[in-house]
Amino acid sequence: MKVAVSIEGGRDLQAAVCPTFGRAPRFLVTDLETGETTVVENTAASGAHGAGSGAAGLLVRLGVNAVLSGRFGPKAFDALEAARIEMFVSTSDVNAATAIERFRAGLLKKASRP
Amino acid sequence: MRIAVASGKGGTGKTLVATSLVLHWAARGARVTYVDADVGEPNGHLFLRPDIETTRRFSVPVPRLEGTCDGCGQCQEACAFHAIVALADRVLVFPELCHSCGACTLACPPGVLRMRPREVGTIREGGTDGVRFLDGVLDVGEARATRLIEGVVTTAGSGRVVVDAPPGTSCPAVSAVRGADLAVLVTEPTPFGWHDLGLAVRMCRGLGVPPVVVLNRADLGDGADAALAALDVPVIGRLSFDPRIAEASARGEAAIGVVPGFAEQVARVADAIEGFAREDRP
Ligand code: SF4
Ligand code: SF4
Repeated sequence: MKVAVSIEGGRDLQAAVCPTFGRAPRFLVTDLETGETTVVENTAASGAHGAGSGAAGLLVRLGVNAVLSGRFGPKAFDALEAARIEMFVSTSDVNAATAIERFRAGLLKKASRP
Repeated sequence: MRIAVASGKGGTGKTLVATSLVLHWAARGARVTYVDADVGEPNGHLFLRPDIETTRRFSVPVPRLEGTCDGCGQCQEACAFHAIVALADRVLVFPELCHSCGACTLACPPGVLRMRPREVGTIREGGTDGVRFLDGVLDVGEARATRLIEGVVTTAGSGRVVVDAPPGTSCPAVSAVRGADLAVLVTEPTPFGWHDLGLAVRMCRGLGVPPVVVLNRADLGDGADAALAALDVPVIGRLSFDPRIAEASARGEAAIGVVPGFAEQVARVADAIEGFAREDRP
């Protein structure tokens, strides 16, 4: 299972969880089975519009199954839901490693429609 | 001659000025078209009470999947506006983000994406008191106003056209002001008014449309001269505050017909506009 986390302020598991999904500067993507971890820049973040749908499209292409972030906008929610990528809400006062641990432990709540 | 009547913010009397100008010209026998381009909240019809003769639905092209999609993602890659997301075997289109450019359809390897019309609003046409009336009414829940604004302005064609632009300085206002010969910015003498006027002046200059100012409720508030001098924009008229103007509007009557002195003030604005238009086009 591949899990993405919206991150800011770093490029590894120590980076903080970014409170917004669409405007997050990058995503950390980790494969829970192999432990392989990569970081992808969110090319959609800088545009005036469409950051949410653009970021969602990016994750669809990466083939992730779940995504952890502080908050999901309406377009991101629609696109991720249509792509069957599960959305979980993480607080942004932790780093990506902690968010992933909490997700594994089943401690994160599913995001609800914004 | 196309004149856009605009304002940095709502509620400054923009529609009052625009409708009074067309009634003034029509009363002098000119052929004039009034266009309400504030398609989110058109209210010019409340001032002019036109007889609507035709209505037509207005559409914009957006991509639609017509065939088997293999989820290759080329359409998504091609879209500069993030308006289309490629899923495993279909696409999700966000019409409010789509700019109708067609790039996604060209990029689709099997050619199963086609541009198809999607209705976004209505254009109404009619007339009253010698004025040809046009407005655009955006469908409820529709986010992108710009195409409909362009559509209703284009429908007006040439001749003497007064466009009642949406307030503000974002995309809808830009769409309504672009291409005009003159922008008449209606403002009120308040600190917020000056700030928004400054933004509107900059928008017009950016579009290459010369701005002029009409000061509404000019007798309320002060500091107008200094603020206007700082913006370096000509003031072509001052309308005084008169509660009877709002009362007439509320009754659906044209203020220029019933409020003493108001018609003269509007006439001065109209003459100044003609002066500017002549200067502009030698
Ligand atoms: S028509 Fe253009 S803007 Fe609309 S979805 Fe296709 S590529 Fe994007
Ligand atoms: S480009 Fe065509 S085939 Fe590929 S994902 Fe888009 S619609 Fe489907």
